Amino acid sequence: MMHDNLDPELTGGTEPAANRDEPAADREVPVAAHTPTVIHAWLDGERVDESALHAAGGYELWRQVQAETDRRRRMRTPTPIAGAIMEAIRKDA
Amino acid sequence: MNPGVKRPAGLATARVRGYTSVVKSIPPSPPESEVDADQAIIDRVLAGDRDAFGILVNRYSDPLYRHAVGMTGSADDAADILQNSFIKAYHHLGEVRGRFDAWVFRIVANGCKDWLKNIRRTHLSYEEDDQPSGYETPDEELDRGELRGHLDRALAALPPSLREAFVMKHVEGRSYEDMAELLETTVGALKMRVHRAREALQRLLEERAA
Repeated sequence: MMHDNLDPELTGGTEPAANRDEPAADREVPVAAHTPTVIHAWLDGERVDESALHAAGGYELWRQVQAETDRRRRMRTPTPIAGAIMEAIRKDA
Repeated sequence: MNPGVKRPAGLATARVRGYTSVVKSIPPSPPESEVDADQAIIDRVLAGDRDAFGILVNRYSDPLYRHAVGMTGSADDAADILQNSFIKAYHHLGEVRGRFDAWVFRIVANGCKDWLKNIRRTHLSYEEDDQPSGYETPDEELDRGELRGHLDRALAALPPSLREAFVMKHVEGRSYEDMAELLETTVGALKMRVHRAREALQRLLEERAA
């Protein structure tokens, strides 16, 4: 059996450089599925069968989570922050 | 439309013959003209028009603030990160190459990660101590305020890379392509992160609701 080029230190590894310093827990490894595939597909903007979506476990939960994340998406920067940034820049100059 | 199928708020729903999908309503990246407009402002600032930087602050602070709030869970800390990031951006403005919004996003994202490194020294993460055990939870109606609190705590329990991916996808409403450009990684890797984040969040939320 050939073992050439298996040492990631020698080969540069197979992961993108940006991932090498991440803790192992943060890396892209599959986990046991709990959220149904149809829910993932729906949340990713793919077309899904309505009856399958309704029957999927977690649909109501994710509908509520989506309503909450939508609320957060409308959040605006508090007005004083922009003024504070520009004030700090003027002081620095 | 079947009244039982409620689309995720803020997203358009496309339906074809009994199929439904959510369609992203936020464009993936600014058009060329916007990039050029940003560069014109940068040129003005570098030429001495300091106040012109305020245009960039006003143009991009909202999505960056949302990112910082999503990552820290704290409006005050998000405000500090945003302020420090824009000041840093101002002092390094001559180094911008390409999209200003992507460049300043990375400054804010790194500020959030630094904040999380400090905060994690005193908090246990999902991987370390919060593995849920049973998942036999029905889709029961959660009180909205309760869900908000549960979601904050569940997000705080995620590893930073998963939290970042979830916040960018679901709170900021970015496409996977835009996320890949901003985070300098692949669409596939980001899909995996978002899916892992959803798996963990569903477990945590159902456990808390049980």
